[in-house]
Amino acid sequence: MSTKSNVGAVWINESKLLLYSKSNPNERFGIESWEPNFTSLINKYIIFEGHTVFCDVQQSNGSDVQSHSHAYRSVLRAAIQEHGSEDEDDKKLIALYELIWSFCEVLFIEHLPGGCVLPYLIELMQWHFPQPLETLNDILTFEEPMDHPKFWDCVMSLLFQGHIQEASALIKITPDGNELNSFLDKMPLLQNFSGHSLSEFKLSWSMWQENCKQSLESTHFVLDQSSDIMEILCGNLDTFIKYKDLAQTWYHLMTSYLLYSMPTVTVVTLHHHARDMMGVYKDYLTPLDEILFSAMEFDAHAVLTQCISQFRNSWWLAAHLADILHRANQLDDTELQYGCSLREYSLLQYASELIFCEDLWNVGMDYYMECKKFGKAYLELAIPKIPLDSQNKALQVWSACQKHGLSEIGASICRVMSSMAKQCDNLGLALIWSLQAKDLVSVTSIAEKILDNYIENWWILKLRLP
Amino acid sequence: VSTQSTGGENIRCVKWVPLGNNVLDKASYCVTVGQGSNKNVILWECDTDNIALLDKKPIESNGTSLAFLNSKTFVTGSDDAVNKELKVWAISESRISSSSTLKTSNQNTTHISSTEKAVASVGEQGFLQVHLPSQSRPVYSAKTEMCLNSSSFYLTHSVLVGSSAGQVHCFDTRQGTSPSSTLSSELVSILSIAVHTTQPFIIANSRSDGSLLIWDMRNNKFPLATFAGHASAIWEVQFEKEKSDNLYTSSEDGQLLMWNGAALSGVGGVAGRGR
Repeated sequence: MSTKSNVGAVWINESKLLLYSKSNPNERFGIESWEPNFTSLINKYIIFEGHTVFCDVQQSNGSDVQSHSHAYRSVLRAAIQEHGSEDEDDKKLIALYELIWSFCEVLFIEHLPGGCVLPYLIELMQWHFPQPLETLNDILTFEEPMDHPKFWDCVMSLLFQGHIQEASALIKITPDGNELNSFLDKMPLLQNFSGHSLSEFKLSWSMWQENCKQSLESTHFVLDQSSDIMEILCGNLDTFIKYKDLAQTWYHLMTSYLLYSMPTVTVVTLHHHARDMMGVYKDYLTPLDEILFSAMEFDAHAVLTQCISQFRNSWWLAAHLADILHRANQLDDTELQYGCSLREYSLLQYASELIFCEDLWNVGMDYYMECKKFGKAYLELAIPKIPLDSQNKALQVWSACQKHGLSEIGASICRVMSSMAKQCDNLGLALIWSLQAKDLVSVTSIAEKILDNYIENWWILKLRLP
Repeated sequence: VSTQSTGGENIRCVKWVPLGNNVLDKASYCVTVGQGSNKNVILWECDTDNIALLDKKPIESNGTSLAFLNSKTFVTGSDDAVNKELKVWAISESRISSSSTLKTSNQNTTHISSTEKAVASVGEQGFLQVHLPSQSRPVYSAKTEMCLNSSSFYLTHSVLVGSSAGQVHCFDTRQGTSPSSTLSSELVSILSIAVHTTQPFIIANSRSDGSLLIWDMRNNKFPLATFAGHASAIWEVQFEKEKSDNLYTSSEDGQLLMWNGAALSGVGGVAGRGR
């Protein structure tokens, strides 16, 4: 954006602004554009696959929201893994989509046994921060793993992410390995406690941590890092903050801290811990962090409006997330200032992005038709603007109009195609389109031309009409 | 049934590479032609677990159709309004290369069919043109008043073409430019034509309203049978090569159906997704 003052702007189309000087309108500062990029393979992949899942969601009418949410998340992960090499910027954007979706799924949609959210957060962190396991593979190639420059960072990171066995294997070769592993091996983990009550787990875990604290006071460790590991097992917040750079983000640090201080934390109290941890990283916060915090406060509306504001280039995330949250009864149908619900507004905007793309107009149609209030009206305005480059495309658009009950628009398409055929002197084709439009006047006029042709040239169109 | 991602390629047409002697052995291969922002001709290697892209060549216009002459040579058509040509491609050692072009009158080639010796193309301007691969200009040309959407070689010297007016014309390439016979039905676009592999007077054509017609060319007043199994346009119909009484139809409603022509009833199908 230009920083010059006295700047005027005028719309070129829905997604382009021309900036000019108000004092000298001939002076142009440039064009600000936020057109979505639908040509890259990764974007096309999530559009088509997302559309498939969206159609399944509508057909299932809101049942099994969990598996549909998992399907969306799988689409995003597959896009990152299979097509991420093509365009780094698009890949990073979709990685953000996946992060937001994962958090929303855990907080709004997943059925959490006992309300305990930590195992899901741990799994999230393990997927989004794979570096510790990558570094571990590198360390294991060394003859003396302890000589690797990132040995201790890797140990701490593995502990932060709950990779207890892997951390234990590295700790084993350190001077204090036996002492530390005697606690690590006995650490109770919630995911391993199935078949027992939450109370039993809490008791077992409290006793284990009490033992860790007693050992910390009474044992002299050879290495400082061993003391730090013990502090971590005891849930000492200052030690976590000391290693905050390994966690990289507040939500990673929060998850790691809760693993060793409050493993049975419930989703309801999560936002308290989130606010504390965001304070640790207050100089590095981005709009993404506000989105995640809104999710932890169960404010679905704020999550969506912040996504819309943050991701101006594409409505993919807002549209699909709004729909799935609505199906999960987490987003109500309150009419907003747009005249419709936030879900419908997001779907309309997304469909409007697609409808004028060469390959995506029929995908956009399906999204319009799921908008009960304004979908049909938007479609009636958009269809006449779809370029009819070929007979088959015109036929497809006409069929779609018939399918969605837009017979007037369909007839209009037929009249346009008939007129184009007449201009090319293709009377037979013009007659077919006029018959489909049920345009009596046009049919009569064409029939007269055919008869004139017969009189002049002894040529007649052989056609069996119904 | 396995489903593999083709990496976002916008595929307009796909054909299996015919089995040949020495070009590509053991595995199955297919060629696709694309449209939209990814206009490519692509050679794929396929097995039940994986689809691998072997070679990809860009094309200037939207690819609309594809047909094989033999296991080493195929022809593609496009909606190229300027150059109006078909492209001949060669396959060699898992690579594809453009070898020559065939001039056509069709601005938008909607369908290509082929035998080992000839290529027939039809288009929206109503032209039917037959080429020999070695000659750039067509050896036969005929014009109808309708948009032609489908074609199929029939017997030795004839070509069947399906029009948007619901008619199938039979052109004998040895005798003039008027159809030697015409099958007429309702005013519904014919999208695909298939000829029975062992009884060549039996043909099937699929239509834009989702119906399938079976005709006996010896009695071309009325169709033998009409099937209505699809909810949307049927874009392709094929007779099975081994059991030629079986028919397969694929439709815009996302379904692939198998029909038992001998029993004149549908026997089963596969529901797919999308279009």
